[in-house]
Amino acid sequence: MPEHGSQFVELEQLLNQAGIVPDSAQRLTEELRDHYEDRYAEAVDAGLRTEQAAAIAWQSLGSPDDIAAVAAQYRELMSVSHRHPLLAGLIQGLAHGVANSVLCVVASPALPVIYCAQRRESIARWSVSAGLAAMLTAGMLLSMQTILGVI
Amino acid sequence: MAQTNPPFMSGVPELLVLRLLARQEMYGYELVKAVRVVTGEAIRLGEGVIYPVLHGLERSGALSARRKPVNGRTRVYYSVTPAGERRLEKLSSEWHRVRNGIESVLESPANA
Repeated sequence: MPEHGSQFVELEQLLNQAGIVPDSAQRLTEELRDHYEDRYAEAVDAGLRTEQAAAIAWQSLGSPDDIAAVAAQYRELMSVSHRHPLLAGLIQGLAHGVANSVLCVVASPALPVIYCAQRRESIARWSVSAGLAAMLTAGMLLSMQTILGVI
Repeated sequence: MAQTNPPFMSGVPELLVLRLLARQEMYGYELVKAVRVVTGEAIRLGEGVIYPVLHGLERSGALSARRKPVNGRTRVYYSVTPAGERRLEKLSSEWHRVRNGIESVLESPANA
């Protein structure tokens, strides 16, 4: 029997995208596939070639969009987010907010380290300059102490 | 492709499904053929749409489903529950009301 396997996979994806609960979408697709096989067998028994029988069996199911539209009329088949979109949006927003807050708390001690790492060349230059200045100053003070000590 | 009935016949698939399944338990393919035969081909449902109707009615408690092995395959058979029978009664009386209303319009004189 010629397979329309990829079309059944697309059909299940279409049902999922329409908001049908995954279990329901899977079961719908399985029964539609059974129906397709019955229709195919009927067409072959009627004397049609396998390709014709497969085409007629697939067409008999009707438009995948129509199937999804009828399924979407039954709230019992829809996912919670499609039945209650406002509530689902609020919960999703809260979840994002909490996740971002946790990220900020975890990341904040690392911020100074990240800041310094991004400016390491400039910090290195200033460190060397400050070190050289300190050494020069120390040398001058030592020299002065020696001179004043002699005098 | 065969023409299916226009959108204003929403509710009709549920009425037909419940009525036919109230007589005997059937699986989807069998049910589609029964609709065609019993209505004398007057009503042709896009065959695939019968399944979301069946699942929706099952989820709402109007139908129950069971899997039966038949000739090496598993078929899902549907039957009407008591809640489904009450739903059928309600849909039938609504349909009779609509039908009577339409008949009144059709039988009335043209200029009434």
